[in-house]
Amino acid sequence: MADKKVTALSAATASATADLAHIITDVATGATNKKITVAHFLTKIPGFIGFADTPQTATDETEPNITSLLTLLVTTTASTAELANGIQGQLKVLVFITDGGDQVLTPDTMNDGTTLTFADAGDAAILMYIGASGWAPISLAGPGTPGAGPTIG
Amino acid sequence: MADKKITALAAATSTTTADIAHLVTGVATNPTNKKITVANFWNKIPGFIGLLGLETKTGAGAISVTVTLTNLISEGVIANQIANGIQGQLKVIVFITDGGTATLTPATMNDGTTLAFADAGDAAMLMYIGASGWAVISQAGPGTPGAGPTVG
Repeated sequence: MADKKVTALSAATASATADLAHIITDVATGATNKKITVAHFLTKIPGFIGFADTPQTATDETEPNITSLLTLLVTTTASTAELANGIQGQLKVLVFITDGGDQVLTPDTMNDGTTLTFADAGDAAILMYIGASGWAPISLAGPGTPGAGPTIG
Repeated sequence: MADKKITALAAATSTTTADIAHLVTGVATNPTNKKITVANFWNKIPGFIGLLGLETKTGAGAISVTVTLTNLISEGVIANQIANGIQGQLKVIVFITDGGTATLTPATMNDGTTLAFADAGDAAMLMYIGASGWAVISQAGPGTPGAGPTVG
C-alpha cells in the first residue's frame, strides 16, 4: 500500500475482537512496534479506567441525557424526568447529589419495571441498555444500611 | 510529513471523542487499514473488559488510586483510606478476608464519610464524580439481597 495518512483511510464505525491495533511496547527501554488484537487490548487494561466526559447536572425536570456516562441529579422539589432509549450495551450512571424532593425517573423502555425513585441524597444507580427490553438497573446503592438506594417501581 | 518513528511523535496524554486511531479490520479474511474515532471505539466495545492490575491490601492504610481493583484483607479491625481520584475514575474494592471490620474513609466522599466492610464478600464500586468526591455507585455482599458494605 502506498503511504497514506490515517485520516485518508476509510472509516470503521465499530471494531471486532479480532481487529488489530498498533502499539509500541517497552517504550522506556527498547521501543518495539507490535500489533495487538482489540480483545487483548480491552481484556488486560493495564491501568485504571476513567471517563473524561463532563458529567451532566440535571436539575428537577431536566432529562438525563444519553450521551454522557454520568448524570448528577439535583432536585429543588419533587420531580419527574424521563430517560430516552440507549444503544445495546450502553452504561448510564446516575448519582442523586442534592435532595430537595424525590426524583422519579421513567425510562422510555425499562426492563422489569417502569420507574426509579431517588429519595435520598447519595442514592445511585448503574443502568445498562440491554436491547429491546430497555434499560436494566444492574446496580443500586445508597447511604445508610446495606440495601439502601433508589427504589424500582 | 517525513517518515518518523511513532516513538518520536509528540505525546497525547488524553483523547477526545473525535480523535482517530488506526485499526486493521477483517484480519482473517481481508485485512484492511482503517481509521476509527475514539468515540466509535469506546461506544461499541466488541468484547468484555478486563483489568490487568490488582492490589492486594492486607491491614490498615491507604489503598491504591492507580489500580482499579483492590482485594482487601483484614487481620483485626482496621482503618483504610483512599485519596482523591480524577473525574470519572472507577474504583472496585472487594473484602476477601474478614478478620475484623475494615472501615474505608475516602479523602472526599459524596454523601457520606465511610464505607464499613463487615463481611467477607462485601464489595463496592466507587466513581469519582468531581468536587463531591467518591460516590458509591454499587454495593454488594453475600447473603440476603441488599447486603454489602455500610455507607456511614
